[in-house]
Amino acid sequence: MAYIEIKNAGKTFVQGGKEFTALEEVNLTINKGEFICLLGPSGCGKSTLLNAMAGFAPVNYGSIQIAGEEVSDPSVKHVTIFQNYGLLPWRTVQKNVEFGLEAKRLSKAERKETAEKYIELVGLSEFSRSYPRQLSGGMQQRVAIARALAVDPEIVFMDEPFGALDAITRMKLQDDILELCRREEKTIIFVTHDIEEAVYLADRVVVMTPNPGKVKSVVEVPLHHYRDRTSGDFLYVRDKIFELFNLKADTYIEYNI
Amino acid sequence: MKKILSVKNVFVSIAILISIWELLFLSSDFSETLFPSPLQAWQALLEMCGDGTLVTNIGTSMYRFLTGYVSSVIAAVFLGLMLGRMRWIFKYVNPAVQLLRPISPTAWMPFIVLLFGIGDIPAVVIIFIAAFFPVLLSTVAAVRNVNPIYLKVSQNFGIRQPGLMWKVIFPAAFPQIANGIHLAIGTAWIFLVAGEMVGAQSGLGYQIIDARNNIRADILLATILVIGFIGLLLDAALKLLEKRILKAWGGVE
Repeated sequence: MAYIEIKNAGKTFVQGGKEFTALEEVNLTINKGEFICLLGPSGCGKSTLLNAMAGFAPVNYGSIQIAGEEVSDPSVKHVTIFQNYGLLPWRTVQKNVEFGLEAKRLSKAERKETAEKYIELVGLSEFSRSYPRQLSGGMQQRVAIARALAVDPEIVFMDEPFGALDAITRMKLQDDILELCRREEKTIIFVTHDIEEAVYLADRVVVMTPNPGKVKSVVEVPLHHYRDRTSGDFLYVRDKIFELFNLKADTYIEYNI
Repeated sequence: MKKILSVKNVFVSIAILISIWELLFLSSDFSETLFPSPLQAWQALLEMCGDGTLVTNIGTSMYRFLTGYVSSVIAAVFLGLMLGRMRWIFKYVNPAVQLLRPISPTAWMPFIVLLFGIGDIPAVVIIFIAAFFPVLLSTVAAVRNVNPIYLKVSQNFGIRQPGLMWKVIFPAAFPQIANGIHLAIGTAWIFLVAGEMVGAQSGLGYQIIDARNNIRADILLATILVIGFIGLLLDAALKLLEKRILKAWGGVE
């Protein structure tokens, strides 16, 4: 059964008196528990689509339904993780994770306990009294992940969450997010412009192209959960996506006379 | 932590100031009653300390100052937080603010004295006006500059008003609001003296007028120095408070 259903979704902005199409005719269904990557270059509407699904800026054509309901507002059931973390700098790690729980009817002790549990899950227990600025980018993003998971959402939206991190930290966090999400059985919608990242993480990669932003193709990744970045299967799927973006050099035969 | 005013700097700086004064005194032709030396002013200061007038007047002035300044800051921050969020209302409020802001608070003085008579109120009102506009405008600007990602995150987690204001917008805007509050303390202190010179029969400003009427230039200059010194202390105290709050909120080192 389709959990998220996107039908003919489109989004236009008016910019300087001119109408500008950010997203056109998107059709997509996503099942519960799937890990979906929205992949494409900048301007392809991947973030626009994510923001529409998350309820921050709903589409103005077509419809997006989650669990049978039209998306109109952000909800605590669908939490977004941003590239620049969105941590509150005047709160400690502990208080940042508790922030998400403050709108829920929980006692102070329950809130503290839940926050501690998720801080431990991302391996930052010894930093719970630190302020965000005292942590590295990767650690800050872990705090944001803990804060998102702490409210037990059904869907986690991620908007280029590792875009500001160095390559090695990024790979480490990719492994972490895969493991966390499998364990917590969340549906993940993950925006990225990194082809390898998409192939490494996703069950299906939604390939998008710009001008106007639309879905070019949806590529299934028939690999099991623990992936090897250097295996032949991995490279095969990656190549397929390279082709979709016309990035592959045409094969040619070299003649030696 | 680097102190902005080290004790050594303060002493040297004030010593230079007093030397210049002494030099001017030695080289000028004014009579001693009109232009006293630093020593005479110091003796006048001791005299005022001795008979208790200085302490009483400082007490009166501080009471007026704190009443006017604190109430002004609270009102301006509160209004600023509201107006910063309600953009379209601010569009209608802003022209009136810009009309009132350039009017020197002293210009209101005769009017305030006519309404309330002479006493504490004119000085309090003038300090209120002096502090109000800088704090209001910096608060509105601060609220508008709050990083939109904080609002997005709050919306996502279902944080609603008044929690949103208190937990997110106010702390996020605080460094810039503190800037306005800081600027305002200097301005307000300046206008305290003006207020008391016209609208009161007590306090440090009145003491200046009283000294002039009795042709006691030594008392006059001593009072001026006291006013400057208290201004310096107020500024330092506020800086300390600001740092404490910022530190508690994990801001700067």
